[in-house]
Amino acid sequence: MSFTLEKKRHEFLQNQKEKRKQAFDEKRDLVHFFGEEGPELMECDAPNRRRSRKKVPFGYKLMGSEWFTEVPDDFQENWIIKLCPEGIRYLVVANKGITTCYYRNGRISFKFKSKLPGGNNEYAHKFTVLDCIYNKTTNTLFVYDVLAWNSVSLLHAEAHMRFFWIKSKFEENPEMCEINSQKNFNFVVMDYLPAECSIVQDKLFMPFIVNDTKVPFDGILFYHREGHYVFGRSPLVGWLKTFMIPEILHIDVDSSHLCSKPEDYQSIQQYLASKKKRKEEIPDSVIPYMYTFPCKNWQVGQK
Amino acid sequence: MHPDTLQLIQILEKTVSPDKNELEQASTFLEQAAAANILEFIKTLSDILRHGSNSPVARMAAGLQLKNQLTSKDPNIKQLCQQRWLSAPEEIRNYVKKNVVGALGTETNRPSSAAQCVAYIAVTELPHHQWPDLIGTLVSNVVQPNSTEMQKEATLEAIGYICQEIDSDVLITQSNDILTAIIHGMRSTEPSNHVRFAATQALLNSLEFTKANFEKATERNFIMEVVCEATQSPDTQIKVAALQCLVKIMSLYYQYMEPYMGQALFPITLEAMKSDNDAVALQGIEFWSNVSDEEVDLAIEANEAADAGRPPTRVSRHYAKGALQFIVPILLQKLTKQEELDDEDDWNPSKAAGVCLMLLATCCENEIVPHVLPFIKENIKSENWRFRDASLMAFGSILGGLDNTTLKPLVEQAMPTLIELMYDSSVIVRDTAAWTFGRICEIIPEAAINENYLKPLLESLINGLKAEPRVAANVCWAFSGLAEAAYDAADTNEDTGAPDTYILSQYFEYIVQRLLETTDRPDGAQANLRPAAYEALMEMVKNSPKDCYVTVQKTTMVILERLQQVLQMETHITSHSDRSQFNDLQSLLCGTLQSVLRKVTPEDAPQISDAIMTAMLTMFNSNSCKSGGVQEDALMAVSTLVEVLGEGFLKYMDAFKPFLYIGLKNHQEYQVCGTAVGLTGDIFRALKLKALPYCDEIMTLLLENLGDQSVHRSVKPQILSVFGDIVLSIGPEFKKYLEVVLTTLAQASQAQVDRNDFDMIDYLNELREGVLDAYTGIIQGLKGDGPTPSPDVMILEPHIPFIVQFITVVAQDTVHSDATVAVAAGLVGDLCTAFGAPLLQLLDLEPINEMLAQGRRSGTSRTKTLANWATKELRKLKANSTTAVASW
Repeated sequence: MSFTLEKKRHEFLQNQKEKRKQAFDEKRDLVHFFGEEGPELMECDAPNRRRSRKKVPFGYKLMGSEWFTEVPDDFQENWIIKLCPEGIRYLVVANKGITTCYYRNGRISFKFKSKLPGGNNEYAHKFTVLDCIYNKTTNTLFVYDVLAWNSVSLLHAEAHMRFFWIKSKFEENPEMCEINSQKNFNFVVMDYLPAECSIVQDKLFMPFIVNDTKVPFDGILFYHREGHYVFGRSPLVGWLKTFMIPEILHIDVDSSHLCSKPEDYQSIQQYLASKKKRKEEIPDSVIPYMYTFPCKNWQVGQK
Repeated sequence: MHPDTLQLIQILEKTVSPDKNELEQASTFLEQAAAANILEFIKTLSDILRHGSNSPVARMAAGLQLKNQLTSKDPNIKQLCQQRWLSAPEEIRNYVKKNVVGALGTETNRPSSAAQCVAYIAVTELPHHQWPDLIGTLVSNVVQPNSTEMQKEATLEAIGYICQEIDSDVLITQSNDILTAIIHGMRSTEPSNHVRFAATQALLNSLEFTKANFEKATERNFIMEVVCEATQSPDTQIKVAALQCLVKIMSLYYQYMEPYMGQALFPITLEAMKSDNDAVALQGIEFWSNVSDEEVDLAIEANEAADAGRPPTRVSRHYAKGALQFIVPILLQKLTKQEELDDEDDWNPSKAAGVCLMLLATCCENEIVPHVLPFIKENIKSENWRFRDASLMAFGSILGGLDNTTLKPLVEQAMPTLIELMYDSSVIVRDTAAWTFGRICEIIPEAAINENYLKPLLESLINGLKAEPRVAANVCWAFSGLAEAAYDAADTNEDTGAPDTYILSQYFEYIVQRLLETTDRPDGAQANLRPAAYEALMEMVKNSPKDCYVTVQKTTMVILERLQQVLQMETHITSHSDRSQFNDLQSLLCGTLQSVLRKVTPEDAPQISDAIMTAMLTMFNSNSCKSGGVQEDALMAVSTLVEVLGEGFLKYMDAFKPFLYIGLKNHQEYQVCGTAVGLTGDIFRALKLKALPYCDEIMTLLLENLGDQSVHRSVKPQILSVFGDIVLSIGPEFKKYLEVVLTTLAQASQAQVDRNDFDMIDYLNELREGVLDAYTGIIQGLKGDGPTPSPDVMILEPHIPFIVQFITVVAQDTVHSDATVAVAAGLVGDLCTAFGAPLLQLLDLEPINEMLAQGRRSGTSRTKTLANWATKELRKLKANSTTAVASW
């Protein structure tokens, strides 16, 4: 009994505190305040807190890429290119009147109101899911891909179709790009380019300016035009860091995009190999202790 | 010998008398003697203890009396005893010390009472750097070749007590000497088992401060060798104590254990687990439970480190994983050694094995399955109930560690068998089956609410509600979990934010009916059944969708009726046990009332509130509310009613206020007082300006409580926060209290605490949170809701430097909690919005900016948001001031 009483008291007190915080915060105009909320402490991966981990609704996951180490034969015919600014990858879900950014691992990063279908009270019953990269310096969510729009799933639409769709939806409703005019927080739909080296090279030499700020590129994504959106790694999506582009595509890149190049970089193969090696060097932490058994005579140290 | 001493000896001998009158006389005499001249009394007691010619009984009783003058279980009295001793004249202290140390080893009885006297004087004096030669004396008592067995034993006992009681920092510098004595006594060459046991006990108590010794390989090897040897003693007492040492060493010094693990610790503990001696087996099992616990922590640490991109400070060696194949079979064997007539409080190897399996599963996750599954499959249908029960127990225990993809098919496959076992001929098996369902509902609820099994499962559970109390209580627990699981799985209606229906809807009324019947069972007092049944009922109501609302309404009426009935029974109560059952029932009904009230629609609430309030007022008027527990529950129920009714609560205020005031004045039972304080905040939030007629009285009571020493400290921060609630609710009307409240806040903000005491640091943070809450409420309340701050807020202007100074103190304090950072950041933002540009100069300080930066990195989203917001508000002021300069 005393345990439950203790629990009840604690809950009562917490409840009081919550009500007070709510009353204070209501007077603070925080509702539209865009805080950079990190993952909640309660959602950490401690094994005994398994159930409290928040999950992405409907089980959506981000699509992953493979290293684009070789240019395929059908490159020019079948591939589409998107340039990537530096930033954090988010799955953006607009649903029940609120828009939520999830990290790759499914944890919530932050929430806001948007004009996407489902992202505000007007269309609360709809939902929209986007694949985005958030660039902090410009406070921009770059839209890369669409998984669902206005409650219609686009997972089985081909890449070129999805890109056309997302581009035209934002063009039809330009106000959707706005999120918070005060903070210059907005969506920008990333252009898609044909797989032509000369065009890519031109783009990489043109300063990429968003919200009056020059944004460096981190890399390039290659999409096979017929690829569906899959959860997890897809062989129909390729990825290169900007400093690898000259080596693979044989084009030049403006030096401003090369700042992330490692000092000891030689080639993509060497880079990937050393990356793998580094991974292996981290002691494999799940090897159980080996007992020699049976062991009858125990002894300690040196006698 | 002095005649007084002779009389005292006779009296002391009577303290063990079987005659009740003699006993009482003796204790009265001793109390009077202590009161008359305490120092003389202590001196004489030490004389009696010292002299071997006195009877063993007199000496032992003298030692006991002396000890009682040196310490107490009550921390306040203990402190008084210690202060009294330290202020005694040095010659008396030296005299007594000489006597008690001299008495070590001269007694014939065990355990030594002189050892206790030495220890409690040491515990008092050593932290003040007094009695510097004591440890040396004790050590030589143990290591000198001509010391007697009794002398060594009593001295080691004294060392053990000192190590147990004293703050480990005090002894760190002397850890070498102490360890030398202990290890000397523990060696296998020590002929006396008594000495060896006392030494092993002392080691167990000293492990915390021998860190430096464990860091040195040679010393560590030596300690480990001696401890491991002691585990092989044929004397069970020594063996158990040495195993306890290993358990503790494993937690404290995990990182150093690798060289000993394979060759020593593993075979020793494995052997111990197998022992038929329960005490030995329990320590063996405890060792592996402890290893699992430790390795779970290390796994969490490793995850955190990986997330942060840094190497972990300590790494797991995965001893548990490696040992699974060896220890799991032993644990499974131990599971089959259940007590037939189980007493809940008994701890035995069978129960310990269950817990160890749970921990191993958490630690090793899926890897435990192949070691356990064959046993479960082989025995779940065994002829022998012990094996059926053990395999169920093993199944239920490992559930918590497995991942859902492994777990779900396993549980689904087992479902029909588990349901069958609910009808087993053995009550113990049925009990474990019900417990297993409780676990399933908690850990993998989606398997429990699987449509294929739901109907037979519910049938078996409903059936179980009529079984023995222990079975029924576990079934109630399963229902609690089931309700939550079903509710979580239901589709939410997007307009209402709650589900319209769920998988239990068609059974809901029936289940609630059966649970209500269960709460009424005449044997409900056994096995905690009645509280469990009410708890299940509360969970069912709390997790009910829209289409079950009619049942919720009906349940509300049933609960209300029961409350009224119970209140009428009041006059029939005669015995003490009746009274306590009656009080428990009232508490449970209040709790259930809260859960139904939370579900009642705003339209329905006013229709039942009269009846509820009448019942509550009857209850407050009755004798039951003389019990703090009931009073507290009743106040909480009123709090829920206030929340549901909002302004509608006003009509009850005149009738209710006397009881609110009684609660606020209940200084004796501070939890009641705290609940009343919280309820006060609720009332103001709900009634707003309409609470004004009661405000004077309430403010007077709250301020009195703050100034009253007899009010428990935990209530005071709550009162300060409630000032914030009040001013936020009544706005400028608060001005008349402002001066006295600001003075009080200024006093509270000066509080200092003992920084070695973690509880006191928590308290300091709570107190500061309260002060900051109050300032926040005052600024927000006086500023008003208009687009520009109301001029009322300017009354605060003279206090701003003080408030900012306090924020700076909080900001600079390294022990500040995340919660205080959040409130302080909020207050910074509020100050900016209320007072504008002039505040920039005051607030744009290094410590405050640093605190805000810390807040922005916080793991709590509200702290983060508030820190970001405050930073933005500060920046706004800055931007404005630069524009002003530029345009000028």
